[in-house]
Amino acid sequence: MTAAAKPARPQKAAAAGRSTAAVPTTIIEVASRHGSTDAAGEATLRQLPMLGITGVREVRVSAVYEIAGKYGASQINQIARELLADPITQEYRVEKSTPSPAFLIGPHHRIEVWLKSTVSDPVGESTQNAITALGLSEPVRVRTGRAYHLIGRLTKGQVETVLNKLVSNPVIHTTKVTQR
Amino acid sequence: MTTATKSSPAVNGSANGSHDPAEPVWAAWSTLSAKALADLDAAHGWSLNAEELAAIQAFFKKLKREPSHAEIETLAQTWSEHCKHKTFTSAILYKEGRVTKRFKNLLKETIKEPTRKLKKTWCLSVFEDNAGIIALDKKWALAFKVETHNHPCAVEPYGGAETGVGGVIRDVLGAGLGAKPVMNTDVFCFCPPDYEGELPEGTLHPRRTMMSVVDGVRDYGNRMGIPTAAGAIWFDEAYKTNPLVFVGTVGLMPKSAVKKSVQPGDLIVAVGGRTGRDGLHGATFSSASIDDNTSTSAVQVGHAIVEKRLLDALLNARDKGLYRGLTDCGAGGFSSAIGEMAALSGRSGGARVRLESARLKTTDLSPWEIWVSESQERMVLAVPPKNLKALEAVFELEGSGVRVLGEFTNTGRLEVSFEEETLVDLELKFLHDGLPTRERTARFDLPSKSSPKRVKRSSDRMKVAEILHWSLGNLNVCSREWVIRQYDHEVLGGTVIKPLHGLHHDAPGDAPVWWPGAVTGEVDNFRGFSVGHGLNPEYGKLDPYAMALCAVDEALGNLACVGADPTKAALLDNFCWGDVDDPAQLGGLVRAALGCRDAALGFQTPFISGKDSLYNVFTDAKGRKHSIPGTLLISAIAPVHDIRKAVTMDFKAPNNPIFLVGATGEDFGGSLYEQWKRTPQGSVPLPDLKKAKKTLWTLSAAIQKGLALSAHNLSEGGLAVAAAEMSFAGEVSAHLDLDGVQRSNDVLDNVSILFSESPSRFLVEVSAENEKAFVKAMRGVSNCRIGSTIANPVLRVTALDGRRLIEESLHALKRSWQAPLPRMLDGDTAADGRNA
Repeated sequence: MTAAAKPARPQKAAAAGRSTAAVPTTIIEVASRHGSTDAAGEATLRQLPMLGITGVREVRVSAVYEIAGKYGASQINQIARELLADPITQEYRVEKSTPSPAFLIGPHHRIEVWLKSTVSDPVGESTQNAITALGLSEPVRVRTGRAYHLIGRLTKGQVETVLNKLVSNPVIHTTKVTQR
Repeated sequence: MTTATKSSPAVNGSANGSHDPAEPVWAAWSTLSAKALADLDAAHGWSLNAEELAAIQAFFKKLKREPSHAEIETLAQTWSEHCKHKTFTSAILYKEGRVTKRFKNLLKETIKEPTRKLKKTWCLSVFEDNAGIIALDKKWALAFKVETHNHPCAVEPYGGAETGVGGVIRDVLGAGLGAKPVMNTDVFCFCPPDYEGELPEGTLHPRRTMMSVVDGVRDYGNRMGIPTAAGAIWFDEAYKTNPLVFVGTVGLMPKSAVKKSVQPGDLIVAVGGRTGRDGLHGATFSSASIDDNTSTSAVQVGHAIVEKRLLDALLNARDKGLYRGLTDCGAGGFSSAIGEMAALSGRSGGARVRLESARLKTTDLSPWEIWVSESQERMVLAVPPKNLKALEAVFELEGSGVRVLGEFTNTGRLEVSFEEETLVDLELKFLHDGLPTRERTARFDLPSKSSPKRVKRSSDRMKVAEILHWSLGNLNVCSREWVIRQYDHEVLGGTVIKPLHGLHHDAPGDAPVWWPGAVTGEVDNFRGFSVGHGLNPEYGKLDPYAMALCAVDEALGNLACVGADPTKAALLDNFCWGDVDDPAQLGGLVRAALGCRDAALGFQTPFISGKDSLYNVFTDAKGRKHSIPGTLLISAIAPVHDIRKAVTMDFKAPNNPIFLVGATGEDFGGSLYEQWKRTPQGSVPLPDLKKAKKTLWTLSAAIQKGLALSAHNLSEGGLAVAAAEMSFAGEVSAHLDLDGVQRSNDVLDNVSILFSESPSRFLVEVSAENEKAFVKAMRGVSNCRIGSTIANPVLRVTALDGRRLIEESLHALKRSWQAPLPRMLDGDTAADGRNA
């Protein structure tokens, strides 16, 4: 096991991008079913009044996984169903598919928080190993993040406050805000 | 010397990827001016000073060649404040008033001095390994280490706390031949979470910092399956830009595993996680002060599962005797770990490393990045070649990686190559001893000794009740349950005395007691150990010497009152200081170190390990420097001879005599009472070490004889706060008569007796039938019966003149004590009235 397999010689070209541009990526999102406790959502909601935000009545938090690798639709569903979502308390959706009830939450602000590509992602690494353990081909990369859905009244400034003072740290995160 | 200076592309820049801030002209290093060297240093974040850069330049000039990038990186990591403690080990000219003292090596002459003098045979490894090691009994030993992770936690509190915990666990795992981590301990200094003042750009709000740090400690410790059972939190606005995060681990090991060695010919084997770009320059980063533009490459996230696998595989390999020595990859990564171990190899030391064999996370790392990367969860072993196959099998079983990176030699050189290129070829002697030293100057101005004016303190009943409730709700006293409950303190099943005491398991314990029988299977062996902390930066603001004495007194006192044996206690020091280039701040540090020396000699308790984190300074956008108050954490560990005799702090039953052990003086400097009054004027308590030692040793012996039902160390808020805590903890109250309190002649009024913070004092509940035996056992130590426990849930105190001074319901007292943190952290105003 000494030096049998020599790693590729460091290349400058590889450093520029993540060298996986050609690999398709799929996003799977996992959320609590309506009626199941969303502990992360409740904890986030509790923090808002201390930031001076009182118009939000509910926060729902879902886990998002970006999986880079060539998988068919049934394999993606297998990953979501057997690995990422707890079928009793959670639902999942694959990007662009028809959302299940947990994802129909009316008008809201959605804040996605992802670890920067330069930051190690332990959950992503474990997921990568677990997908292989399912008997599927090893993903090129798995990155993980969270999506916060803020339901209620919010000004633009308040969304910024939530973003910067509660859910993300610009040192390690990238974020994306959408309004629906 | 082979080809380090020849322009091999990976070394000289062209293939280094986009991560070099500025491509230096390595070939011209010897011709660079001091200014150019300093610019290069700043661009690369090496944190080397002008003398050090000049020494490196001179060294390579003498060799008649240019250094390689990897060589400069190796020197920068090895010579960093973080790895070398160059301030603490330097020569210092210290002026205190008219007295001048010259230290050749501050560490040796203060912290290490008592250990050398006391010659305790049960100290098995001191100051030389990753952790200090003491004997627990005939078969077992305890490794203990506390370190800090302040800078990373300021930038990214969750990841910083996680990797801090992971790092200290590996320190214990890498002590001797490896100890099994059995308890974590965590001490924090934060700005109050309800802070509403201004914060510099880029600084996280203290509430966010605190919550994320707690999350990080929780997630890593809980996932590793190690109980987090001891700790403390101190709040002060001065920590708003530089939070302090101390993380500690106790490990259990057979005595036969205490010593490690490395022999020429042993394989250098890297185990655990892969190497990535994470945490580049952590060592040099933590040796510099933080500014607005702190780089983000020094931040990383921990992976507890990888470390858990490493831990399990490693301890299995240790018990099979498959390796001879090991160390963890902490600051400086492979460069520091292999460099340190190389020094142990044979007479001259040495190592030959082939970096192309390392397991990588990404393939785009430059060789020098592999060499200094601080990716977590990695360790380096020295493995006799014949054991390699068996070692690989053990690690394979846990799914943990093994790679041979080279071999230890006896050449006196550190030689590192990547494929055909030589990256580093350095004499170990220069690497480890070449650091130029300079004498620093330090100055301490003694506070003027104007005798404090006698103040008449109001004994108004309402006022006293108000001070008591305010003290209980003070951030430095109030309940830490919000934090403690997030930690798993039960896992492994050995936490006999838990962090929270009392009828509802929600009152403040002095120290936990842990029973190793839970993991060794020796169920008839009732020996255990306890860990106590002492910290009070408020005292340090007035006199760092007194702070050190009080911290040792508090840590040992906490051990004594659960029934641990302070005569076999050992200490760790953790200094967190500000800008020590400022002679006044360095003077405070010297004075605190002198306090450590005197306290250790006074209590006859040796230091066995320690760590310092300096330059906790924030430079704001306007260039102003904000230093933290000099902060000293003392952590003590001691055996508990029989865990069945350990006691908690909650009153147990009504009608039992209550004793106050230790004398009460007029000690208000840095006290809660003075903070309440906002007119500081008292002097800091200075424990009488001879008396304090006798008090602690005698009390502990009485507790070990089974003569006490409960005991509590008096700290912030003095007698009144301790009595209230013991009462609501047990839902058994107390009636105290202040006239019974033994006190010095200057203590004249009720408020002094109730709120003075004289050190080395304890409240002890004794059963009526043991009263005589207790008094006999305590002979020679100041102690007095000051009242009895009562069934009525009301704390009663009778004043000196016989009138009723305090009559407060336990429910209300507990509410004041419990409410602050849930309110500030969760906005939970309904915390009131929970099972009080």
